[in-house]
Amino acid sequence: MTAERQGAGARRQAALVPILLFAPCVLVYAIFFIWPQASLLAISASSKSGPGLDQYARFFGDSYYWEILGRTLGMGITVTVITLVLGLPTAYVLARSQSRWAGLLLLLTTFPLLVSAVVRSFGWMVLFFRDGLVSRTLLALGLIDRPVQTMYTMTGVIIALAQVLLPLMVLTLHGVFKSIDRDLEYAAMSLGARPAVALGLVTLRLARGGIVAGSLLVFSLAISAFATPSLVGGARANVMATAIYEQTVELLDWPFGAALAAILLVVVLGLSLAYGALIEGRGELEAPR
Amino acid sequence: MQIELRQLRKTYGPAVAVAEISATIAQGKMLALLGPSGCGKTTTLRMVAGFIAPSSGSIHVGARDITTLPAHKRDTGLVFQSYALFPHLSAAENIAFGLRRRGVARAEREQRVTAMLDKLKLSGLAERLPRQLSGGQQQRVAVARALVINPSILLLDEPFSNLDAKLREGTGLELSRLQRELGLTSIFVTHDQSEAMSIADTIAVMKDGVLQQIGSASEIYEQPANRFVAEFIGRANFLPGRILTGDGRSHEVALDAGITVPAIASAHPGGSSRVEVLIRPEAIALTETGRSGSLMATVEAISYQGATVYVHARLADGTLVTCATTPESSRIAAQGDAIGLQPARTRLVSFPI
Ligand SMILES: Nc1ncnc2c1ncn2[C@@H]1O[C@H](COP(=O)(O)OP(=O)(O)OP(=O)(O)O)[C@@H](O)[C@H]1O
Ligand SMILES: [Mg+2]
Repeated sequence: MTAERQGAGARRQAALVPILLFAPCVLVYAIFFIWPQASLLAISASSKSGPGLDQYARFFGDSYYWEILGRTLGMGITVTVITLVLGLPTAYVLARSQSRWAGLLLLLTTFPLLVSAVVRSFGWMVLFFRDGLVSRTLLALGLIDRPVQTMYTMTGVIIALAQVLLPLMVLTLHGVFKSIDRDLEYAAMSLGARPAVALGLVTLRLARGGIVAGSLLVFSLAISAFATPSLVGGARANVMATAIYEQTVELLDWPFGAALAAILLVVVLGLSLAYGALIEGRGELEAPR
Repeated sequence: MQIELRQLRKTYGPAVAVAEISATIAQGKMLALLGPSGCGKTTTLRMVAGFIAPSSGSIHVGARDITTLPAHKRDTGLVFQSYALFPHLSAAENIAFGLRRRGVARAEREQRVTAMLDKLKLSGLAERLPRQLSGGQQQRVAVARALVINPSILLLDEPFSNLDAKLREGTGLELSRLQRELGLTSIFVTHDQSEAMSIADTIAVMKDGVLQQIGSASEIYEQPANRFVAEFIGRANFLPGRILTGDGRSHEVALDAGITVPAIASAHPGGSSRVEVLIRPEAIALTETGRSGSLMATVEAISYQGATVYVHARLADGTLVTCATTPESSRIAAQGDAIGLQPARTRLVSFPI
């Protein structure tokens, strides 16, 4: 009887353990993420005359803001595509390489991450100004006949963001490719698949989940980037992040800034889900074993 | 189709994976590549499959030199050690993969896949994903996937190593039956000598990338080319001795242990008269002590294995000798007993020291 009760007590205690282990994380998450986001939503739903959706009406009624949203998404998509096109082959080759140097090369690709956004942007300034390295090199090669200014353009922002986000794409995909047994490709080849077909039907098919993860990571970091667009892009590269900053810090219009943030969040969530569903095909998000 | 390996060699920088392999496998026969871990079996097989380019030498299938032919054009059925089933495809889709690549029409494809599923007792499991199958079932899907394309050669890399002993034997016999039925020339990699002996026509024993001996199971067991082969295949006792009389092929050897036995020379003894004589455990009979031509020994341990009983006995000079007898004959021995060991007068092989 006592033993039974003790057993029940032990079971109850055992059930408490995961909750206790979870609690700190949940608490931090709730205080520092959920609560501010909720307040943000609350603020965005207020106007001068009390609660209402005036802020959202203002956004959707003004083509200027539509343009900012479009520019932001365009930038995000372009950066994602660039990093995917550059990162996929790099990650594949590094993952399949038997060379001792592969590990070192992988480490090298992560170097941009170790430099702060401000310093990195400063580096791009040196390259992108009218009399900077890029312009002069292109002139010397005869590819252009007048100096170009990449600084303070959207192109500059996209190049800079792609550069810093590329390592994340490479790291994510490298891990995925490493986890896919090379024998699967060999098996496909022995069954008559050309190497490119084997790659597509087997390796890339199995890497889908990782490709989605990497793309979403890069996309969401790109559209929420603030330092690079404001330093490299300046006034011409007005994107959601800089617009939110402008509204909240410079114009002190918190409700409108909050509405911008909420819209960005919803759009990103929607796009992520759509992209995930599209590329996953049957909708299995399960990682290949 | 006949497979011929001519002086095949593979090096990685200074490391030699396969030093030199030459072998011919006749149409419809199965060659086992046998050797300890790291001896270059997989490397050899993958060169035949086309995944690894040989450093030198050539591979011929039928009359054709396929040394530089890419893997997907080689028409080989391959079963991997880890099976390498496509995890995102069902058993049936895995089997259909090669047929699709060959552009086999849907109706024929389905019919061939179904036939193969039946043949390997997989019907009912067609729609399962590999991870929903047991190890033995996955192995059969892998074999089915390799066979359904009617390859001209079949390559198997330790296909049974993930199966338990019982399943392994049954599957091995089943596979060799299929292979004979389809008349497939095949190469089979294993480090398990009994597996090699039971299903292959010819065995190639390798060590450190070097081919040691190639021959039938009985040739390799009864006339091993060197000590390594003798020890690797089956159990072996080696007793040192001195050549008394004889030519390069057979001789009388006076064993240091005290008796004289006839032996076949594995290699020409050259100038040396010292040899070691290989006596297989089943070539030693247990007798009462003092019988002429027998060795005096003390029984150390008896290991009962059902049909066979292994008696481990120590000679006066400290050498441990293993004898294999039947349960009946072993009754005369008990642990600690003094006993006589009588080597057979045939099937003994000598190796120069
Ligand atoms: N890519 C490589 N680079 C360098 N050495 C290699 C490479 N692949 C194999 N080797 C070496 O070649 C030798 C033969 O390897 P292999 O895989 O053929 O052995 P194996 O006989 O199949 O062994 P196991 O029974 O363990 O599978 C080993 O010593 C191995 O270390
Ligand atoms: Mg191997």
